[in-house]
Amino acid sequence: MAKALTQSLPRFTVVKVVRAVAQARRFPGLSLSILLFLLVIPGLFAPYIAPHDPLKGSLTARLKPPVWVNGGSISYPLGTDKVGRDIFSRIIHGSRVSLVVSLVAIVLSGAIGTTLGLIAGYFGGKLDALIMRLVDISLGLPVILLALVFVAAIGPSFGTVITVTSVLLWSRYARQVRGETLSIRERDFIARARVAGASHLRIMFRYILPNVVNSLIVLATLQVGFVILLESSLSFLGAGIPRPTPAWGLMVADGRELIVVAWWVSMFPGLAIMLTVLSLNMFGDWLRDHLDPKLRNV
Amino acid sequence: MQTWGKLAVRWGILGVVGLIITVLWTSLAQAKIQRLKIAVAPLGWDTNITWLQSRSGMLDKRPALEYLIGIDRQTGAYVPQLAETWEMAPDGRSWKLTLRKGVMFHENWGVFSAKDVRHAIFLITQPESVQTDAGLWRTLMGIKKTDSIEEGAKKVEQHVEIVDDHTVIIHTELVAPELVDTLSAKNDLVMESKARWDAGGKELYVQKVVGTGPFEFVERKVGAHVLYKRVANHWRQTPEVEELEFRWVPEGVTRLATLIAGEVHIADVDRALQQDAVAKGMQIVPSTQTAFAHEWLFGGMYFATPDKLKAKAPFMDKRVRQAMNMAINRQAVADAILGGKTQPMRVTRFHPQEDPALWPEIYNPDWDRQYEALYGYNPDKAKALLQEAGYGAGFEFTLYLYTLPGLPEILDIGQALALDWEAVGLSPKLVEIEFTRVREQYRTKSIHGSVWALRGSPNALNLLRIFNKAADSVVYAYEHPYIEERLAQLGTVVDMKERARLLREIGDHKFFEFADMPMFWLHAEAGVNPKFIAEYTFPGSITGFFTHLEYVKLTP
Amino acid sequence: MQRYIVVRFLQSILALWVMSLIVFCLARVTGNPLDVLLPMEAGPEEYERIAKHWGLDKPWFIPQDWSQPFDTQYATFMGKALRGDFGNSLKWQGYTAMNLVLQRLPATLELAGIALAISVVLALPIGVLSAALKDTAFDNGGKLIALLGQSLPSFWLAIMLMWIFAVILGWLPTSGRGGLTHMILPAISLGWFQVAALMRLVRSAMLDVLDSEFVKLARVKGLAEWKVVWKHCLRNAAIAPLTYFSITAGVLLTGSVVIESVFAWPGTGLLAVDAVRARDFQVVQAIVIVFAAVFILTNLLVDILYAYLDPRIRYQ
Repeated sequence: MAKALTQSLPRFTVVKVVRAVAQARRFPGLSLSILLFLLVIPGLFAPYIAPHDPLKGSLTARLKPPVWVNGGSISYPLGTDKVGRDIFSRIIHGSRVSLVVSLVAIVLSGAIGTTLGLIAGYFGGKLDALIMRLVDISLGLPVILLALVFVAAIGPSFGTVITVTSVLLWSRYARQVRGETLSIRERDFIARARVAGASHLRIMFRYILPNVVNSLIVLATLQVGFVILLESSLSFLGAGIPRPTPAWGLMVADGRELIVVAWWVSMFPGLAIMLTVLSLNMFGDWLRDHLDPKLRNV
Repeated sequence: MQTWGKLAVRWGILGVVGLIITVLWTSLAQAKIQRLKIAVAPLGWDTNITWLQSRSGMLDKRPALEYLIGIDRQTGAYVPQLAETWEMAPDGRSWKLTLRKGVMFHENWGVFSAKDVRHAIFLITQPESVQTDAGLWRTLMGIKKTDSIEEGAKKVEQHVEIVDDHTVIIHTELVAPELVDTLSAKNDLVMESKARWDAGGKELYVQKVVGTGPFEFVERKVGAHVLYKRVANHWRQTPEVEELEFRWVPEGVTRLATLIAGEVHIADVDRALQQDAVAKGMQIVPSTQTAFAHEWLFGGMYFATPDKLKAKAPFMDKRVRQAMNMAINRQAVADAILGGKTQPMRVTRFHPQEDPALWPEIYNPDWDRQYEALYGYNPDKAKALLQEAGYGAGFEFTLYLYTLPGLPEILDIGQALALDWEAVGLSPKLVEIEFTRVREQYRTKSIHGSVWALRGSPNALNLLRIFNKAADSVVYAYEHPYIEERLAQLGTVVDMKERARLLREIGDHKFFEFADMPMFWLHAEAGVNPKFIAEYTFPGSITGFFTHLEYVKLTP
Repeated sequence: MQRYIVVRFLQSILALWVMSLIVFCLARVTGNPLDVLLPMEAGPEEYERIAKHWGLDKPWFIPQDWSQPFDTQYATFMGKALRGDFGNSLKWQGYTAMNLVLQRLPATLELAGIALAISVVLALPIGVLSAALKDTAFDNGGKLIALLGQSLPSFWLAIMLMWIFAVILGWLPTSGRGGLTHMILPAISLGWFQVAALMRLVRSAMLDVLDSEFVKLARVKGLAEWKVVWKHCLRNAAIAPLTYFSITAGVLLTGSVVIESVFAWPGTGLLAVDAVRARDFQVVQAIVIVFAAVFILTNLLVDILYAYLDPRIRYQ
């Protein structure tokens, strides 16, 4: 398998890679273009780009190797999986799934977490304590167990994955926003606004929120990668996106038995995950460094 | 200079001799393994108590336990083990057993005798027993569900007559002409020591597994392993290996890795990985007997319970069921997903060799002859049948996906079958779900409009009792008054030929009515490292598969 | 200050109680353990018999007749739990739930501990040097390696490592619990994920300190650069990652489920998965509550410590 790998990847020298990373720090050209090609374009235009239907396969075309290996064919450029479905098409459609799941989960948890964080930081006192204990509770609940419980009760589904992910993520937003709100609310312009008669709600959402947005964006970018990885762990345990939907994590989990016999079934979706998450992390780092250096501890 | 030379030569010779000795010694030391290690997927249970788990959980206790009747590892036949002879009375309601003499329990708990047989039946019929045969033995002993543990023990005492230390007569409430199967190693009546129970009860039983087997229990680390050591001069077979370890490894890839790395000598290798195991020098040893069957069932076939029946559902029409049978390409599934190592099954769980051993002439050769015409892969005929039945436009149904122990490939098989059904115009909806949810549905007779898969051991009568009985049963996969009548008769008829005839009639009914979708018979396979193991023969017809480890022959 | 401690303590107890209620309901929502634990051949009479025997036929909260108000599952559970008895396991017959958790806990703690140690041992020097050699090839290279660890699905990494090091090279054992050699692969699979986050923290903390006044003074005084970096800055920078500790611990304990599965490491993660799959309520409850208690307690201690060190944060 290692031999097949080295034969199939183009050769990168270490210097080239490091230089690319250095470049990425000044302008995130590399990471953005990876993201574009792996996540955004396939996510939006999947049905037009994918050569095959991701859900249809035939047993005769089962476990075909990628095109550059003996036995592969150009009609299945990255090979086929256990039931004869084209992996290339499934990866393209899978980016849609990853995009949808991450966006929904992040928007949901972000909205809830930000609101609660604002309330906690702004009002302080009992509300603050209550919300912080809620954060404690949600962090104390083991997420994987929660996912398994949901799956045991209602079976794997999109809803399960999104719910579980949101439960895990909202507390990070809440904590971050609360911390920043605590420091912002002591500032002069807030006091002036209160004197001028602005309502609490107005102050929170018109004055404090815009100052917090930067860190939210950074956090969200970094979370997309995390959600994709979480989905793969859940799929490994049978609690992720249900079959036969093409989801990268599910594809890697399904192919893990064949890692030696048919390495391409896990390898390509795995690479897709790795490159996407890597680029997201690099982009997120760049965002953080450029939006607000004070956010280094996010 | 000369002295240097002499010294050099002397040291040189010493060095070479030392090297030869080391090489010889290490190769000798690696020659025969001391501890036989076997890597298996974790069983559903991890306990020393035999009645608090079901049959599949017994695998890790079998080395230390024995049964009244054994299973020959090559032929799968019933052979004497702790019972030497067994004989049914003409009225079919009692069996007389003569027991082997001079068999000792481990840890000096005494000689095996008739009181231990009664004790075994007592253990399995306790109110807390979840053993697979518990229900059957309670029925045979006439124990009601409201009976306390003492009342139960009394009834066992009444029914198990101890004639003398080595003769026992088991009286049963119903006719039990197949009791030989129930007493065999294929089922659950293990022999444990009454003396030990009297000494310490359940608390003592929790600590160790004590029986009469060729291995003696050493320790159990929950979640990690179970360890045994051999019994010297065992009456049946003294194992060649000194110690035996069952190692629990949940991941299939990891099990393969442990086998290839030489950390274990036998492993349960998943079918998908077998090719690779062979490529790395391992051997895949198939079981000598068929291990289990695989079938797909239709939901809602409650023909004997009219108030649960949905008369307008598509599956109610025989032509639809036949069409669905003809739409699927069983051979392709067998070749692609199961490595081609299957035998076709004609009627669900009626086995051509195993069943006739108990019931002569139960197998109808017509099933083989007419199978291709009635069930063979023919999508055009399938479409025509659907058209005829009025479903030319197809219909929707649910297809449940889950894994079952021993058959994780159900997920792939299900997806492949779905594609076949789509090709004839049907609309299967794939639903991934935990098997227990499906079980909940079928045992409450609320599974309509779906197909689902099962796998299990051969035995026509057991299967009928579980699948095709209308009341007090388990799966209710296909009911029909025709079957009910004959099952009722089987409750009283004693003559084996007569029973075989009744069973065959039920088989005919199921075959010609397309009661379900029989798929294949499968063997169990063990991955074995030929560097250490010279021979491992196992029947595979015992749940858990990796039995008869005391007969393993090591590579010298 | 005392008032703060008392209030926080009471809040923690409340949080724990809510957790117990949540897990009680969640565990039972999964379904009927009988459907998992009874053999396939069990008929309706078996179901009835065993349900009665295991107390599963009792109502959850509201008693069937009010003359016995505590004959409910919740009351039984709470009553026993307050004494530390979480009931008998349904799946692992013969063991109590608490027994099982305590038996398997050392394995998980061991693994999490070594993983944490590895990630700290890697993150600290890389973070420090990255800060000192800011924007050089080392900085970028270090970041890349750390990011890589955060970008791979953990089970994939685990299987790859196992295959390369245990099967192909044969340097390490493939699975199972044992001595140090058995811990290395699982710990690396578990810990690599944390290296990036910790490294980033150390790096930014170091950067802060390197910029500060007293360091400039030390440099002006003529101290050797390496002394400045290691002796003065590190001490101050090392505190920052501690805040991350509680989150890390939580992540490690949940991440261990996958790793324990791949490496057949008999810890609580695997126990939890098996328990949920088997609907073994008692064990699921025991695990969740034990971990929640540990987590909430840690948070409480950290908060108290902070309040002690920084009077501004105290409860208003």
